[in-house]
Amino acid sequence: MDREMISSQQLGWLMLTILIATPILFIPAMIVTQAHQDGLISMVGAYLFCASISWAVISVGLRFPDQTIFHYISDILGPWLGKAASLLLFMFFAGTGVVVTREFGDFLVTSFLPETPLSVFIASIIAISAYAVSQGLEVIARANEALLPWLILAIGAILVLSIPDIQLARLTPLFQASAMQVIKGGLPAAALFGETVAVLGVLVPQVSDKARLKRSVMAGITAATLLMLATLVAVLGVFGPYETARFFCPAFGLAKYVSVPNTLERIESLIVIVWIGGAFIKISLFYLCSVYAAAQICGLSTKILIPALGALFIITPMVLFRDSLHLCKFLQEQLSFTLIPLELTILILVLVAFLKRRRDRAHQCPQGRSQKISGR
Amino acid sequence: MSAGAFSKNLWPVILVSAALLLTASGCWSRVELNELALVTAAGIDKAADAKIKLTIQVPRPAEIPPTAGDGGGTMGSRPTEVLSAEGRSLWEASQTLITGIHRRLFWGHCQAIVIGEDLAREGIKPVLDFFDRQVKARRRMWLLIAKGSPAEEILASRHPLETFNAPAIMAAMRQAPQLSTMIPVDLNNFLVTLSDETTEPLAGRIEVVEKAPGAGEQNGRGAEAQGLGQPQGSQGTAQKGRFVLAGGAAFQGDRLVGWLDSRDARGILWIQGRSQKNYVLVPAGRGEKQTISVQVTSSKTELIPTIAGNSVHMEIKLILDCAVQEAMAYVDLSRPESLPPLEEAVARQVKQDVENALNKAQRELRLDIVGFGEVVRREFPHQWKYLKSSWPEIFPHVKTTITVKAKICRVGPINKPARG
Repeated sequence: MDREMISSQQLGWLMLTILIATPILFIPAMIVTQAHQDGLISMVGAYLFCASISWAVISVGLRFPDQTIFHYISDILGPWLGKAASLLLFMFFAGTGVVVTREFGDFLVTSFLPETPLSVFIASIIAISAYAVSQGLEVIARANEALLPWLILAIGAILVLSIPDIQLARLTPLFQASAMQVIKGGLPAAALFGETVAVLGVLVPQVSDKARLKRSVMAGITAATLLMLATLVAVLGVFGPYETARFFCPAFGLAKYVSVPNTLERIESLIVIVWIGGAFIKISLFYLCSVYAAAQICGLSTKILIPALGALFIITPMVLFRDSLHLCKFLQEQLSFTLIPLELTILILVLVAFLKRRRDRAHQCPQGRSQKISGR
Repeated sequence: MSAGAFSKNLWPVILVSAALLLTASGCWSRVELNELALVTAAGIDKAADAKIKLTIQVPRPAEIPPTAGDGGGTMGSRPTEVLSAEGRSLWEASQTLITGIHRRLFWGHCQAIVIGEDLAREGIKPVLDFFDRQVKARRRMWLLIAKGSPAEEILASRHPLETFNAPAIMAAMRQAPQLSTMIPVDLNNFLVTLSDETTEPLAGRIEVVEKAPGAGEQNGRGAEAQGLGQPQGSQGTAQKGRFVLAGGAAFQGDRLVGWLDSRDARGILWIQGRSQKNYVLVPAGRGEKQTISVQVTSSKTELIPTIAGNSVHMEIKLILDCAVQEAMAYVDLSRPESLPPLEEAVARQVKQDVENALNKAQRELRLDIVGFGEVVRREFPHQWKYLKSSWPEIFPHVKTTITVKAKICRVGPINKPARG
């Protein structure tokens, strides 16, 4: 696949989209179920986790400016370990993509179009995403630039309009949950926020202006966290911790509840904008990354891989979960124990690659740095 | 770009766009308006054999706008229909209703749930789940308890001005902050309060003030209602009395245990800081019958708890900004010195309202409907762990200090009342 370049700003926007698009509906309930009001602290913890591992992956990625995570891992750790790492990454991208696809369809069926079969939503979003993937990263990044302002506007509108109903007293007293509860609440959030790590590993070499990379990505992650915190404050302030935990998607409940008497009501359709727009970008991006990973493993061309993986993305979400309750249970209880170890493994592989490379360099030429400059 | 290349590129785009147009009309879940019955208000009552009776108010599509037709007179035909069905569950009852009207029920426009007193006394949590679980229904629905009559009767009663009851309820609820004589509670408020550790929920109170039009004629109100819009001679089930919204319904858990009157409601709104525009009548002087009407334009309530051992003390501080709306008696409103006595009188009145409400909650009902427990929990989370379990016994003995500071900021466009 030829290398298309995006700007670091576009990458930052992409990070913002993948961090708010699906988590904003599901994360608040998961956090609040465990940590009640202290979910705000869990969220900050998830942010620190996400920011630090993203920082590490970018830092290492910048040392290998022209190589993806697949390349430099197999260069340094050998082809077999490299293949294994690529397989791991493929599982990560495909798995996450499958879960997001199922969440996407499930939410639409539950909340808006109860009579439409799940398969229709899944097949249509994958068809559109397959087209986006075939057009490449640059197109996805540009589509995201066009969509993201609307997503933020929609979320912003819901949050601003809910202000009259927010009772900040419901957020107090803070620091009542035990440390365990705060951690348990933070785990699913950390897992979903940590998804950035693998995406960044793959996309860093395709950024044209690498000098501004760290700043843009961190800005994207921070903005996403702030939006999540604002959403948490709104749902806790309106519904209180116990009622928030009863919703599958508290933000949707909030959008339904918001009302400016006689003027503006029933703005839950705004949630659909966020949901379909955001899920499209997120699914496309994970689809694209899994195509990259699969191409790395088996060396097939994208012309074969896109339809093949498309079939995978359509069938797996439907057979993987029996019903929406199982999906929610998975997201709540098992997701973090699947994703976080994967994310940490990726991080460790990256760091090992980086350290080994530095040691090899130091071994080969003691005056490595000057050598490198003269080599150019 | 040559014409050939242009059309070559354009054709696929046109074809795809045309194909996409087909999807724009919707797909599986497409429902036309004429397949729906838009529920504007729902009533729930207890029926025989442990069944539940669901009453809905729906507009009659052909009658909007009301047509002059059956029975003569433009007000003769009602544009709404009140339908009831019984079932072991609300869902079953709603299905029975569907078979009767051949339309699907649409809950998105339901604006009020009215629950009959009998059912409310047994607990309303089971019947509220239905509304919370309907995808289209919203938690904004006002929750009202029908005092002394089944909910069905409320929905069938006729409002003097509005053609629907539901908008009338909505309008009344919107005036709630102006009047502060009732407690506006929607489904969300109720459920959230129910989920609080100690606060007992409140709901709105609705009752039919006049029975059938014939019976209502003997008092002045009946005549007024007649004048306003109940045409003579038009009959039917939907012609019973008129409803008022005032006061509130006090719950223990999800069971109705008592009623609040308008004055209780006002006191509770003061304590909870939800009373925004309340009015107070103060006598112009000692022993005078004529009054000065003062409206509170903004108010702020502060609840400051203190704990000493097992006894809790609550300081209630109210700060009010007021405006004079009417001076029936002579008060020299051109001089600032004449304001302090008025302000004191306002503060006294408000304090009495608050005391009255506290008396109702602490002595009569012995239920924490004002939310003191939550205030204590927020302020003293550690001590709360020990107080929580015995809070129902502690609450009636919570000592209170009430301080009200009223400030009259405005007297209107004139100063003193007319001379002479």
